[in-house]
Amino acid sequence: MARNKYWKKFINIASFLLLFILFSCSKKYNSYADSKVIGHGGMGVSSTYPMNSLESLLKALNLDADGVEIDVQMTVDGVLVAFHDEFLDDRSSGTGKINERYWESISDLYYTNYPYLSYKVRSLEQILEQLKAYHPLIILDIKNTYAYDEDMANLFDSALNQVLTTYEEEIHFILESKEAEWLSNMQNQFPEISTLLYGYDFWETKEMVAVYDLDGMAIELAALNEVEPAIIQNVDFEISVFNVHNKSQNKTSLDLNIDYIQTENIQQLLRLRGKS
Amino acid sequence: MKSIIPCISFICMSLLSYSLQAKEVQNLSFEYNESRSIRMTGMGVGGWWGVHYERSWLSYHNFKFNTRLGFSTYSLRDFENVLNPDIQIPMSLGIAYGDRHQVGFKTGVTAHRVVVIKKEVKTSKWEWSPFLSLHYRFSFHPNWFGQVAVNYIMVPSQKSYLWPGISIGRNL
Repeated sequence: MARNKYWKKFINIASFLLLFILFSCSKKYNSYADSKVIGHGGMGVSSTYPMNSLESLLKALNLDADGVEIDVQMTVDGVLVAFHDEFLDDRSSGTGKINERYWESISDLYYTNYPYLSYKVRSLEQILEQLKAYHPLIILDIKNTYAYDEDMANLFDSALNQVLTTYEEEIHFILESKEAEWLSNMQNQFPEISTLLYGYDFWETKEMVAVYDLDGMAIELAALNEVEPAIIQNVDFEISVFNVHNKSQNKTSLDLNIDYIQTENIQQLLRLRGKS
Repeated sequence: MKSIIPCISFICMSLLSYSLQAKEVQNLSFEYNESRSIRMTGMGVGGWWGVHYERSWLSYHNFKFNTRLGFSTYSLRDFENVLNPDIQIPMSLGIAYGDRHQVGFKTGVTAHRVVVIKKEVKTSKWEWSPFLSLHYRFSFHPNWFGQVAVNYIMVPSQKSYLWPGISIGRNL
């Protein structure tokens, strides 16, 4: 009698396990292989590594991200700096506007997000020199093209051209900017480099991409909520999304078949993509 | 500012030790009253988080004199994704007044190492950063307490940080 009881219990557990395994296996995953995992400023905004620091960018690539996004500013003497803000005050040990300071006065600054951490503010060239060995995909988020000042604009274009030319063999560059006309000019000079127009509204940006014959758009993931997934998946240009923080946003980006996902959580996105 | 704060803390510690010695000489009612606690802290002198072991040795009326040893890390794996942790070890001496509601002052140093790239090479070295700390502690249960603190952390060759901390702890 007691033996029968144990057998019943065993059969119940075994059936439950069998059903569980069957249901797990039947779950369908889309093919996510086309979506590139891009570390937003390296490890993202919530990491203890400051965004755009060399350490943060290296960590992202060492976790097997396909690439990283780097914000680009310029000093008054034409040195490109990997830094998010126009002003140094909030995130670094320095003060004032980057484009009003000389590189020499910035080269010793460090990020001040957390006590004890002393990651340096670096020029774009110093960073690319270290990253080139990984042959990564790098989205350069051009924060300012200095269109209001002809001299600064020329200085910026010349500095950027030099960087793109120096590293074009080792690094797959993508340019991201709010300036459609500037992007179009860059595309004419560097046809092999993709150009993404930064936009706030899907339809407006789509139109501008078509008018200037650009390669695609960079847009906040939340801005795609109003658009039919089928439309997003079937557009004939590239889409890059940012402000992708949590698991649900990572999953949505993959489901939408987004080309470049600038995520704040690389490991999670890589895990989700790995399930395809 | 950086030089004033260590001076003030040194003077406070000197006064404290002088008053302890003076009172012991006069045979005032100092009691050897050992108590221990452990607490988890968000932010605080550990940086982002920390675990702290605290031991009170002496008490005089409602004053308690204590020592603290903590541990914290920003990340266990470095930017090459190799096991090579950043480590922070805060140590302090302190005095607290009160029983269920307690206010206190601590001064000490944090020994810390951070893995960074310097001159294009991965490197890390131990450094010492002094700090001052003021706290308010509330015991909401005979064995459990919550604490909020404001810390002034002086990192050598960097700026100083006014850094808050919030903890929950248990008396052992």
